[in-house]
Amino acid sequence: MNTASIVVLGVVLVLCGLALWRVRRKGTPCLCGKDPKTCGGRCGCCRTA
Amino acid sequence: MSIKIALAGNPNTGKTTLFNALTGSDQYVGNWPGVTVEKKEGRLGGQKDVIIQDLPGIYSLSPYSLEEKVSRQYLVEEKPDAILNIVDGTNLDRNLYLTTQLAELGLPMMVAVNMMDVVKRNGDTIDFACIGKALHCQVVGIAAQKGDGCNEAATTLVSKIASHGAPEVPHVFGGSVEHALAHIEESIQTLVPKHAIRWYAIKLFERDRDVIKRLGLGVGDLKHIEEHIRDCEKELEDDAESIITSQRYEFIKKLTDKALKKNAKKKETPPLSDRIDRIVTHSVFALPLFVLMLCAMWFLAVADCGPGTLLTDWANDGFLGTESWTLPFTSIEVPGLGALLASGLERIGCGETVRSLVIDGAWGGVATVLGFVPVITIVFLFLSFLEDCGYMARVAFIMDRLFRKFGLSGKSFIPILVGKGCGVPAVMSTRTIENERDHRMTAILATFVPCGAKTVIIAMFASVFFRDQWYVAPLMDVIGIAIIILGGIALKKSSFFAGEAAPFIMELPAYHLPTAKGVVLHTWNRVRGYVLKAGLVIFPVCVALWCVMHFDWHLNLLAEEEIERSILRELGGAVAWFFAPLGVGTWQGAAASVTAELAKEQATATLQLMAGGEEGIAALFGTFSSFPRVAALSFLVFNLFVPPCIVAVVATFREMGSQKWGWFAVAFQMFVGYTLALSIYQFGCLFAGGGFSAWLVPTVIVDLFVLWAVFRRGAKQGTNDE
Amino acid sequence: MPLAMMKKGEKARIMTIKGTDTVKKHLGALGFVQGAVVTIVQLSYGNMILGIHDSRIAINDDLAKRILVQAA
Repeated sequence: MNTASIVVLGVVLVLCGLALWRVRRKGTPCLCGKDPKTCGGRCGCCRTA
Repeated sequence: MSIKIALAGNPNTGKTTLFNALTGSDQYVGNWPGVTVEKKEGRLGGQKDVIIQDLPGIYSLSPYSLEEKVSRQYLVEEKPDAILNIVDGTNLDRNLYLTTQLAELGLPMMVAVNMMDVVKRNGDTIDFACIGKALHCQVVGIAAQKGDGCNEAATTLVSKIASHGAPEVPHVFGGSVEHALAHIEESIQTLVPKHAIRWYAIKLFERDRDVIKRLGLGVGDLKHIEEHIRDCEKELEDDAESIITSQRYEFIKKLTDKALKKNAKKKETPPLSDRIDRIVTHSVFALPLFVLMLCAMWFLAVADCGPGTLLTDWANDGFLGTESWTLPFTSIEVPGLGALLASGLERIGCGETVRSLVIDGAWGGVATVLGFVPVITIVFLFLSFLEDCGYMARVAFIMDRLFRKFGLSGKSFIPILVGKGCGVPAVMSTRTIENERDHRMTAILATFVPCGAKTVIIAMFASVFFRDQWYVAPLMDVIGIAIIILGGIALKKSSFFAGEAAPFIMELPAYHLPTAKGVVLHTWNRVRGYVLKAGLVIFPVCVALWCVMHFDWHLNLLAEEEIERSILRELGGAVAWFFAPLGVGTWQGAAASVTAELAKEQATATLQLMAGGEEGIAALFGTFSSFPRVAALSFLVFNLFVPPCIVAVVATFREMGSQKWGWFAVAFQMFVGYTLALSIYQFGCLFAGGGFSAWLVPTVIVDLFVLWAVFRRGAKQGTNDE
Repeated sequence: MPLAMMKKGEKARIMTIKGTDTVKKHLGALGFVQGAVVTIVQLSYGNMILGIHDSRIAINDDLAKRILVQAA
């Protein structure tokens, strides 16, 4: 694998890592329609992993 | 020291709009301790030490519902510094009922009459000074949706707190009642804070059990008070609570007769809202109208000639694709984003394998999901419009008749409507159902209506297999509702769920044209969530899928043709047997269905990945079965009606409160989805000329069982609420 | 007579509500008190939409049978 490939692969893996970390912290985005800043306890999906 | 202002009022008065206007985004949402009622508080904009506590929308301060109890407790025990009572100016009488109760708490209060823009438009007038005089507090007019008067009301109230002492309590009741109240106040003088003595006395007069318990009155005192109450009841020939309620309304009527002047011209014609309701809730036309609206929504979203498909095709083949597309009305060629990505990677010298990972794996999957944004935008626009205009409340009323037939009330239908967006809030909104049995049942059934993510699967299959039959899409909604009804009937016949339906009482707010801003905002929130989910969930899953498709167990990299040796092939193959009777007993079918549990729309991305592009999906299903369209329908139905995505399943477990019921829900949902898909595939093949298959026998047996479950005689009502 | 016997578009004055449960109290809070006038906005197989005090309240058939009124 050449340098470019390794770099691209690295970027992909880092992005995946960031995505999973964000999901762990804030849960998966939900399609409830409420403003994510205030949906809080009501739809709760902001808090489930 | 921060000042606390309680925001109280009836539901549907624009309280949330007012709260948002006062606090901006400086809000915190949680739960009241120990209960499932939402607690919202925020800081008044521009004043760092004023906290606005939003109380749940309530009609009265009785001790009957959780919302009322929570509000009472806050107002009486935590004692905010002031109350901002929001009242609907187009519905003054009923709203003032709560106001009279709030005024008796002895806290500084301001009444903000909202919807003044509508009041003025109707040509009515309200004399604020007159009302203020009768209630001994300041009354102002606001129009929260326009932002008029909100901040002024709050800041005026804040300044009043400093200058005011405890306000005078309004004189609401007649002589006989006042006489009894005076005696009661005497008995409890030492037990309660001075400012609230009036409220406590009235509560004791109404024989409020919570208050009696809290004050811990001695038997002698209670008897003494009871005598006075009985005397009054005998004199007025009615029971205490009814006396209080009636006299409040008498007081209010006298007040509004003076203070509210209605536009004389408008008296004769029924309001527009009623005229709309005459049609929308018509005993014959209501349901067909509802179905018609669903069909209209789906037609726009997935019909071959409709905007949804047009835009999605452009998104998939053009905008996001790996080739180029022509700018309309010109001959300018624009490369798709996929093409740009591919050529970019090539330019920097990225190797073929990693390029495949990025383009075919990651980008392919994410682009598939993003390509459906036009479709879900249309669906969400419809939903947002219907929610914001007030139609959803009517649907509960329309469905009540049907639902009552099998023991549920129309209120159980509301979570189902919520579920058209996302299953998680749908399951959580079943909380408002007081009866625990009905609560559980609705939570199990709520996710059968296709959610936003499931809508994407429907859109893909409509596009690939059912282009000429756009009615397949709304059919999925209809099947979902049918499952809910039939499933409800079957469950209600078991002793775990049997019981009478709760009475249906619901306020129907007047229809109003939703603001474009509101509808667009709600739709945008959902679309934004969908796009974010594509980046956060679909993206890593597709990368993982590409890896397990291109490596074998010894971690050798495989060429495209060697996919049969991949990890995914082995894993999928291990469970493919489960899907065999459904017509998709292959590793691909298994992989797609299993990955759908992470996020339902992932099924489309997974299929796309394994078929090497959306064009290959039809051919892929051709390898599953000799009746690919039947298999497609079966696969679609399976993924729509088995347990929802893992997030929603977790929410269901939480809502059920016990592991046992959580697993029951999952088992029930799996049974339903599987049986339906099975029946569709087996009978579908039979009618398509497939001849007899051994699987038909167990299919018929299971179908007969389902018929029995629905049509048998029901059990008697369960005696214990679990 | 019970509210259930009224027809669409008619007006009625409430006399009393049978029973003593929490539903009755809830109706009271919504304005269903003695002397209040209701309009039958819509009738659907026994379920009703009632206009009372400028608001619209939907109730099911059993409740309509428990609310006793006289024509207004």
